[in-house]
Amino acid sequence: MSGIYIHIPFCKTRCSYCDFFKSTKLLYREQYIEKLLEELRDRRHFFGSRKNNLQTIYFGGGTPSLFSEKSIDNILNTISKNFPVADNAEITLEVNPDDLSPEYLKALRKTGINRLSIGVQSFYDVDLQKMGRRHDAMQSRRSLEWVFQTGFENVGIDLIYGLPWSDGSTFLSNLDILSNYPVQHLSAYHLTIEPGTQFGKLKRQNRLSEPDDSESEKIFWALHDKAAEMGFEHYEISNFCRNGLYSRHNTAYWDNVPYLGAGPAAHSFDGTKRYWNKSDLNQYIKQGFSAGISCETLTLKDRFNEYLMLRLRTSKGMNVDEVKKNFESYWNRIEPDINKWIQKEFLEKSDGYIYGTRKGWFVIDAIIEDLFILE
Amino acid sequence: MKNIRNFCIIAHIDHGKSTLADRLLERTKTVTDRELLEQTLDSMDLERERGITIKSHAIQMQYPKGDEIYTLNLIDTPGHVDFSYEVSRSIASCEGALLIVDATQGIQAQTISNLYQAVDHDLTIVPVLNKMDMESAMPEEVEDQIIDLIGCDRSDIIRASGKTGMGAEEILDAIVERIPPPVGDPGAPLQALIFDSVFNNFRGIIAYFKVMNGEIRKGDKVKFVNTGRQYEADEIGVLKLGMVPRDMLSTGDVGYIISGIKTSKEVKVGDTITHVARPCSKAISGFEEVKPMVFAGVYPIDTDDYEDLRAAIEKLQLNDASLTFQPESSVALGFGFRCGFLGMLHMEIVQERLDREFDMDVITTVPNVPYLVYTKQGEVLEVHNPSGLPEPTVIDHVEEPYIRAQIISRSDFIGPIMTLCLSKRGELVNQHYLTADRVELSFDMPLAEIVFDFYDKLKSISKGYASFDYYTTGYRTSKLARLDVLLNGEPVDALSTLTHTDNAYPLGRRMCEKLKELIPRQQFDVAIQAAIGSKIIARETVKALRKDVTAKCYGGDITRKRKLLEKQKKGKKRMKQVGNVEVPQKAFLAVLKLD
Ligand SMILES: Nc1nc2c(ncn2[C@@H]2O[C@H](COP(=O)(O)OP(=O)(O)OP(=O)(O)O)[C@@H](O)[C@H]2O)c(=O)[nH]1
Ligand code: SF4
Ligand SMILES: [Mg+2]
Repeated sequence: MSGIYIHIPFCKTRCSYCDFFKSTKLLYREQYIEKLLEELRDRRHFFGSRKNNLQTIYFGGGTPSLFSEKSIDNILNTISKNFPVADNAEITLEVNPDDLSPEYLKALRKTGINRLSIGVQSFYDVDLQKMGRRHDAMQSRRSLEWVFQTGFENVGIDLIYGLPWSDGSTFLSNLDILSNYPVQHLSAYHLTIEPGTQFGKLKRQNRLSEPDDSESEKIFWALHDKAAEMGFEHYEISNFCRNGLYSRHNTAYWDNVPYLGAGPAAHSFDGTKRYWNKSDLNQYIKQGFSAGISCETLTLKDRFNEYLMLRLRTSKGMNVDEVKKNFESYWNRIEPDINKWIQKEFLEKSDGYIYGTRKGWFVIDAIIEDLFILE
Repeated sequence: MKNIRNFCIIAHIDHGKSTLADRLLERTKTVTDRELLEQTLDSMDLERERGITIKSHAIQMQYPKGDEIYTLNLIDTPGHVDFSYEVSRSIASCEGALLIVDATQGIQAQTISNLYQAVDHDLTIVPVLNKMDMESAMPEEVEDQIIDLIGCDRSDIIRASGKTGMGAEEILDAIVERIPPPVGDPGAPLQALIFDSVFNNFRGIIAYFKVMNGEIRKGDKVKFVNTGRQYEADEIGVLKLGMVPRDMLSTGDVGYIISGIKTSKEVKVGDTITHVARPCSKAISGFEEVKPMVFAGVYPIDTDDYEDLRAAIEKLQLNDASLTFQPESSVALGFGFRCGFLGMLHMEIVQERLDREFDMDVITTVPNVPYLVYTKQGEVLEVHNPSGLPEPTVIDHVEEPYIRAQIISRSDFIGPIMTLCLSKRGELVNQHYLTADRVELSFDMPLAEIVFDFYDKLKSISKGYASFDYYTTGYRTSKLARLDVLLNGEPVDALSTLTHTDNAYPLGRRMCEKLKELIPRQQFDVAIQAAIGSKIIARETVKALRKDVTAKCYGGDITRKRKLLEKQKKGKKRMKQVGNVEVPQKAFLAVLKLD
């Protein structure tokens, strides 16, 4: 089992809340693809000699839908030439509504893309404008219609909540609109105001602030309940799905499956070591990935902490037998603390799993931090 | 004896006492250049860094003039309010004093109060204007201040620079010519004044003294009059850069004695050394038992370090007799010590030395002054900590220590300084213009008010131009309340304070506000309350930490997130768990800096 992440660090313009690495210089696209293909070819032995069928391929960004179907096809071809791709592999493309058209979608389907993640963010124009998104609500709805007409079945959307100017009920009514479409996956992130962004600047000027935490928590649980009514399973703190259609790619991260990330700022994991490419598009285009790659061997402690961190974010939680088997001494060290949190009703244990309760899940980072092994 | 000159230096902090002293040591070839580290007299690391001479030291110089060779004993004095008693004993050992004034700054409060002491002891004052090399020097103006203050001639004032060495020769000449030799009777029974002591790892306590009358010889059986203890003078000698043993010291000499004394408590500054066989008829006057005036709990962060902390404090006490301690326990902080300090600076120094010399991570609780509690049964209790305050029903009345505060400032700051001091329950006693634009204000104030962010406020309202000095004047009746702080309903004894009733409400409110800033968000709401008895007088809430879990985590960037959480956890290790609330170290001192 393994996965590949392809990073597409381009956007037409920068959204007001975004500090994720990307370039708005679309000029470089062609040269970028060259180097990307080169990286994929050079790292074809990344998963070793093991028969690691590629289970997932994920195009993330940035805005992957800025790339033509030809470019996508090109990349996918290079992948299948160099890696054994499983027949039923999940191949996801992140898309923005303003880039979609029936023709483009049809062409995408032919390339082998079988899952779309649409950056809707909100079905309200006020929100979209304030967030500096390039599309409007109409485009989102139209995109969703086209997507299903084209025959895509595994479709997810992204929403953002905790917008300072909005309230919980407005956010939740997004779900009413969503209920008109057979969307199978939902990622809902809380807005974080990052320093290096337009919003960050407004915050410094005291013109914008994140909503009160208790308000955020209310929305979180209202979202949970409403999504549940609609048949969505809240399987990870920010992710929901219907009919068992988890994002297989993201789930693999949480399961410690090896993955290769290509493109600047992309991370890779080969089972023991973590690699990351420098987040420098210019250097990447000029010198290729090898000029900026770093690597770190994860110690048992690192792996334990990551395991804890990723697992406790999921609704299922962590499997006690599995932790005991893989990290026995660490387990012994944290068990009293786990019990402390169980007693305080922030964690719960049942059927051999430990997971965050309704009281604990939303503050799980703090609990994870408390459980971390430092040395 | 006629060739001996004993003198000290009176100077405000940073006016250049140590630097100028170095120049004198150089001129008299007391130290070679190689030995002359910057500021030879300040030997403790801490002193060197702070630029404050904490412990007094003495050093002997030989200065040839005309056909004679003169022995000059410089007795260095500490420059901070907390150590004013030690200063007074050093002054009592001298016949003269160099008054060093920074020509760029002018006279400061510290200088004045020490100068008054010197004048009271009939010391000859040799005025020196230092830092004359600096462009911002204002010699005429500062000379006017000096003339005004001690009534000398303008020509008596020596212009000098510790930096260039300017005036050093002139100062040495003035010491010989103007300062009288010591008086006293070498044939009388021994009477020597202890003006300081230090602890030496190999030799135990070394006491510094000046022989006022009589002679002392190596091997003599001696007695310390106030403690009543007897010793053999194993070694006596004079102080050059190191100790130089001698067989005999006579009237007027300044020297040291080593007599197998193990703890600093046995040697009290101001005590008199005399012979067992032929004792003096009375002790040298002016002896006082130095009493700590500020008390605070000192606790190890890690409760396992309790014994180490005890060992560290005991070590510190070996050369710092003014530090007192006794075991104390707190529900919130576990086992620790109630320490007594001379003042706030002394407390800071002890804390810093614990950290630096012993690597002890400690929490210091809110300090308080000693209170005298008179019970209805007619007992008098000295209360050193909030938990020691008896139930209100048994208290007849309470007394708190008062000080006389002297503040010197530019006259344009009189208004704000008055406001500050009056708000601190001060009463103006005197207002005296030193020059047209410099004024000296005297207040009677409760010492407790100085403990709570007084220095910082004074500094900020006067833009750093006010200087401050105080001495304690006794006790006065007061109205006292114990202000408790509760976190999630649990009283945190380490955050309790004793305060005047009038201050309790504003203090409670500000403490809650400050704690709200300092206590990080946790997994649940933290209620902070201030209470007097069962009455809640202020309340704040630290809202629970919530939503950072739901931010997007991009492209497999798991390591970054892990490292972030690891770093946060490391940060929290320096916090103390109080009940179920994590409280950072600095919160325990929060009330000291409330603005
Ligand atoms: N330019 C100049 N700087 C000086 C002179 N004398 C001292 N300084 C500087 O002033 C600062 C304080 O000098 P110190 O000699 O440490 O002052 P001090 O009076 O011993 O200070 P405390 O021990 O804190 O009371 C140091 O940075 C010295 O280098 C001088 O004549 N000229
Ligand atoms: S489209 Fe996505 S990656 Fe690009 S700026 Fe907007 S939020 Fe950021
Ligand atoms: Mg000094």
